[in-house]
Amino acid sequence: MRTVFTRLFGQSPFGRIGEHMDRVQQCVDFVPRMIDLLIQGEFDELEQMAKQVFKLEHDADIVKGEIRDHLPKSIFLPVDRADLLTYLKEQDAIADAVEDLAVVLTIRAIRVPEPLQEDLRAFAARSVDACRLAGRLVRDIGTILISGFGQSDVEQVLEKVANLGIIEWETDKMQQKLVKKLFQVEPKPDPLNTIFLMKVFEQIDTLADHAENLGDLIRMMVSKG
Amino acid sequence: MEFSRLALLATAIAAGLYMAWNIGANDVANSMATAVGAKAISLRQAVLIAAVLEFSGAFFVGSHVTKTIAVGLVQSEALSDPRTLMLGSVSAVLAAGLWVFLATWKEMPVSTTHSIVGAMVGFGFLLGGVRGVVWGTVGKVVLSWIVSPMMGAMLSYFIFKIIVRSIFSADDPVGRGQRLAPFFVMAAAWIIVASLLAKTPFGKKVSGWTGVEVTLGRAIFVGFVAGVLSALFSALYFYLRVRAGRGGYADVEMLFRRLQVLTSCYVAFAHGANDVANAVGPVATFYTIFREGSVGRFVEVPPALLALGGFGISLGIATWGYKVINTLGSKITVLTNTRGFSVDMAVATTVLLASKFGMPISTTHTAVGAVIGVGLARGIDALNLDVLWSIGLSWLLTVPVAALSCVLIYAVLTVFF
Repeated sequence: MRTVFTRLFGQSPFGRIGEHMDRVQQCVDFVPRMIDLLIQGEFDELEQMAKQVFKLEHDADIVKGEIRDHLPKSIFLPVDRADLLTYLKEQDAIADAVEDLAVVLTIRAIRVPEPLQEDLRAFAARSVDACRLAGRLVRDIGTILISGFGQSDVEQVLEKVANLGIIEWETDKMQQKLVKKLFQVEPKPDPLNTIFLMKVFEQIDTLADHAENLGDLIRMMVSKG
Repeated sequence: MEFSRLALLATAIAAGLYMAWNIGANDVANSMATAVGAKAISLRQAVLIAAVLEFSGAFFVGSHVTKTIAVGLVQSEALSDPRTLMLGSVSAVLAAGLWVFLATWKEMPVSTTHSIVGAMVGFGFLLGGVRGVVWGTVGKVVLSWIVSPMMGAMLSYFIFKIIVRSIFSADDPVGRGQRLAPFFVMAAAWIIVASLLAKTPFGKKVSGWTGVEVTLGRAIFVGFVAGVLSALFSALYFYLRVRAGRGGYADVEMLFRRLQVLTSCYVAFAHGANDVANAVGPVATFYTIFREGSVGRFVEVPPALLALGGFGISLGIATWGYKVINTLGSKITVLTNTRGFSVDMAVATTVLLASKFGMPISTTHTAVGAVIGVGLARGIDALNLDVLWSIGLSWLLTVPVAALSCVLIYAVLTVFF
């Protein structure tokens, strides 16, 4: 009889999702440092840093798996279970994107042309901003859960999600500008170098894309029902 | 003959006491643990509140349901032979008690209420075969088992939604909470006082003292007045005693922590009113025949028996229930004060109304429904709905098993008496 209640309350996945986000953020924190090393041409150190990123990404994967294991179909959540699983996937995709960036950076000694350097730093920083904002949203979900989806909390989160969209749009613009500049640089850089630089841009932009997706999923989760 | 009659009486009373003990030991925890888990009351307070208010509920409001359980399920033509009826009543309590014991041991969510109903069905079957049972009543009772968790869920859903909409969404959640709290107090006081007076022996006594007949309408009116008075008192209390902190959600929870002291009283009272019948209903039938040689359509439950039931429940709490409350309370800390309050209000209201209508429902299952209601209102992080299957299974099993064991125990008893 008494066990009905102890069994009725399932394990909350939200705390662990925050834990997963912490690891993802640790990965993201490496991005500006990796770009600095790239610009300075410190490829040995970059190699070391990439290893740390791989390790953190793997840690995040383990946490992701554990969260999934504790979300059977019979668990009832205040948000849609499928949305939450997609959310987790998107959050993990940020760590994956950082890993992919680290891979690209260690394949070849890429040279960043002087006129592009500052723009690249700014572009990476903005993308990281998007990820950090998304990271803070996880904590806001905690507040929303406490207030039982109170109106003012939900509105605050929706506002932040809108900001996230704006930042993502900015990074798109920054990437376009960088690509244009890359093809205007004289003397023309080595085509292989150009290909790899384009890949670096894409990976950095992917970070912001995933952050925006996270925001959209949070919007779905808090406004549904 | 005289000795065996007395032995049978002792058995009946012992069995009734055992059922009451069971209710106190296991069921009470389910109604008090939310408040203990949410740290609204201490374990010591929980035991005290439960003992006093379970007893009051049982003693003052309890008798109405007893009639339904005792005789309502059994066809009156089948009730003609006093000896069979006496043995049958004892068998019913024993069968229900054994099944509850076994289920508790196997950790199945079996309801004492459902067990006693099942045993009474077996008893009716024994007396007159298929036609010995009033199937219409059985149908109504079973329907109430399905309806009560749903009502618990609906009430807790709305109560929690009201808290979210009016308090958590407000610019000044704590101030709004302080202004709204007296209304919750009023609702609880209104229902308690009205149910204390309407159609109860206590109400009749009041009629005698005052010379004014206590009708349902008057009971509701007096309850309303009592509600307004307690609202005023609590408003004064919240105004004088509760100082707002930083105005965050933690302060809202603190506010509801105080309110939960009230709701746990409410739950204990309602639980006592509803569940005492499980223990003393059949014993009352037995006792009436024992004294008068026959039984009518309705069994008046002597106050002494209700007191015995209430005492048994309190004894159960004191000897074993507190342990269960403690372990359960430490495991359901996820239920914060606002959530616990919503669950308590919903459960107590459902259970008290059900006992007023003579519906023997399961407090525990209603509480499970109420928790799910708060979950549906997006108030709980994670609920494990697998439990619903085991509750469903216990529904399907309880009635046939209790009925069958009642028949078997009857067969054994006829050898001795």
